[in-house]
Amino acid sequence: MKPNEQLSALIKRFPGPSNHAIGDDAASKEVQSLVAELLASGDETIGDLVDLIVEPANSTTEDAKARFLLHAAVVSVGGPGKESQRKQLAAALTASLADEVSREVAACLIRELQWIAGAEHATALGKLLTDETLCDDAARALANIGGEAAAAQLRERLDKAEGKQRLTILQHLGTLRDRKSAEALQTAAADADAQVRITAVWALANMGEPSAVDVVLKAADTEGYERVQNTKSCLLLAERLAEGGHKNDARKIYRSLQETRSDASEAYVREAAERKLAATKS
Amino acid sequence: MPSKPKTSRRKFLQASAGAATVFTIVPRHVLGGPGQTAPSDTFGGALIGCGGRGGGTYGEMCKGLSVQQLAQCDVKFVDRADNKMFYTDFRRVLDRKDIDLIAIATPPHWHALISIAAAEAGKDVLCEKPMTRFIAEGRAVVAAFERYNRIFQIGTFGRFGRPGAQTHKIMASGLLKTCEGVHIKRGGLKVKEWSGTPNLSPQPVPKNLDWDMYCGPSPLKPFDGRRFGGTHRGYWDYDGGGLGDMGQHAYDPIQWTFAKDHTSPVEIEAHAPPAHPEVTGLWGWVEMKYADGLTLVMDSGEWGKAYDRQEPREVKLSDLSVEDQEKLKAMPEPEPLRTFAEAVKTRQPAGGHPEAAHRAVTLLHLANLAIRTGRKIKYDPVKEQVIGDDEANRLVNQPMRAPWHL
Repeated sequence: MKPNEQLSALIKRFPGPSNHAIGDDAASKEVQSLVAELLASGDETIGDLVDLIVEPANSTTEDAKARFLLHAAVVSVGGPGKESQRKQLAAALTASLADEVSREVAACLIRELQWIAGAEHATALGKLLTDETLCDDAARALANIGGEAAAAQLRERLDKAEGKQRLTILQHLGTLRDRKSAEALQTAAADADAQVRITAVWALANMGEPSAVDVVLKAADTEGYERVQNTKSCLLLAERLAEGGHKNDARKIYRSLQETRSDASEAYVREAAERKLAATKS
Repeated sequence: MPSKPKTSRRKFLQASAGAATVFTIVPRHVLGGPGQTAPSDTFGGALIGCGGRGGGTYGEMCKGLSVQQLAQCDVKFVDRADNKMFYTDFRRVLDRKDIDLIAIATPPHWHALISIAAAEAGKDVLCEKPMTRFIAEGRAVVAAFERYNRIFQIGTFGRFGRPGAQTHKIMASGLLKTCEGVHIKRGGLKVKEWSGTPNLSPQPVPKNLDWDMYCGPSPLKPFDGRRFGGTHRGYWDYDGGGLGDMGQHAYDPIQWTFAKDHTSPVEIEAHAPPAHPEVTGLWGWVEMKYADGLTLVMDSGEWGKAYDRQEPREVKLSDLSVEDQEKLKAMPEPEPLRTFAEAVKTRQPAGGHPEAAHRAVTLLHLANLAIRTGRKIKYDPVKEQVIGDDEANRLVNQPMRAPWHL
């Protein structure tokens, strides 16, 4: 059978659009068979499957089934002992991203890659960080991949990113606890945009960066929501530092909060710092 | 702690009458602190999430306390927000120093973030179930409330009746090394009712709705009314289907009965059809085993054959040796659980405290993990990680859309 006829047959047999159509064990096993047939059919058929996925506004039964079948395949290859199949399918999806697909379709593919992408797919996902629509999905896929491969992609695009994309990149550098971006984050901690400042300060705290103590403490000397968030980051940084053996730096933070949170409205912060300070001494 | 001069509420209000035209509850921290009694024990309260469950959740928060509602916040208040009583952005509510207590009744994808932000702002929280949308959120909530020593109570109360108190006593005693108990709950999980509708077409966003804020940490997807207002339960982006709605009600008391508030199952297996990427769907049963042998089973009764691997089996006194039975008799009975009101007043943990609520909702998340992956899950309840399954682990801690993060 030609690939498109093979795919057509798979789609025809696949229940959908939701799993309500998979009524019993036998139907469930049939779906698993369809997935196995799809994976065995090769990259061209997988590419043809992707071609069936259309923008949500134009959705058809075929599109609905294609999405479900693709996801079932992704979940199947994500399990233990299926490394080569996982890599093959992720590579096929990444290759489809490089084709001219609409942003909505690309978003669908990236969300599947969030399940199975590995370090080898970081570069392809990194290219999408500059796309306003796809940046969030791509960044979350990189966060799932983790490690230096993902962090490098985020770092590489930070300087040129603006607005929401810049915020997204800063946040996920924090999620990945990427110490190599500490300097860039310390710069961002003084940004004109309050949310950028809050995110950068949190990212520094989350990675437990010892050189950021003064920056984080200074950032917490402000008002309103930013003060509360940056105070949280102070406490978080102190916890990370204490865990990492930097107890003196942690105590510096706690003492600073103890001294500066003198208003009754912040008694709970002062008390938190005092408890933690006592714990670092024991 | 430096002492503050006692000031009556009336004098304070007279002094500030020129500046304030709105009746103001004097913040409790102004008039009283540890060791001092405020002239008024009225708390400032706020409701975040004013949909179907909002009123009920707020009412639960107020039980046993004198609370004046000072704010209501909902993403569908775009047309009425005045940032005095009505808000669309919960951060503005949490900024207010006159608000002490927060009731959270948003969809679940916001529960952890708002709970954490409330603790960071010094508030106590009563939060609707399910506590969280994924496992790592729960641990973050536990950490936040511990860090700031704030009170949290989950919005389910079945454990307060202390169901199966003798079983609880046996399980909590540490005397039973191997547990042969099998607890099967059949039905009542609204699986089909809360299944989502896939393949939605984009619709115009209603003018009174801040859709970006509604989506929050979840992906910004085109609006459709079914992603909102109750039927949100059918979308993985916001909830966990029928398990998300009913599971914490059902399993929180069971978890208390079996004294499992500080641990989780180590093996989870589901009997279910392949799961859809976007929407929750049908499933049959989920079997969960703890390290000590206890088995909990969720049997939806809504797909496939009923669970028949094991028969139900109670934990019995006779499971203990005679000697251990005597030891058990000498042990104290389980203490009454503290209500939210009692916890707020005494600053001691509530009965539905963060760790307990997190472990209970983890049961639902582990069940959904097994359903969504179609694989037997092995789980480390100390590290709170799936063992040997990276794909499943990606669902344990899910990256959020900026600027939202744990």
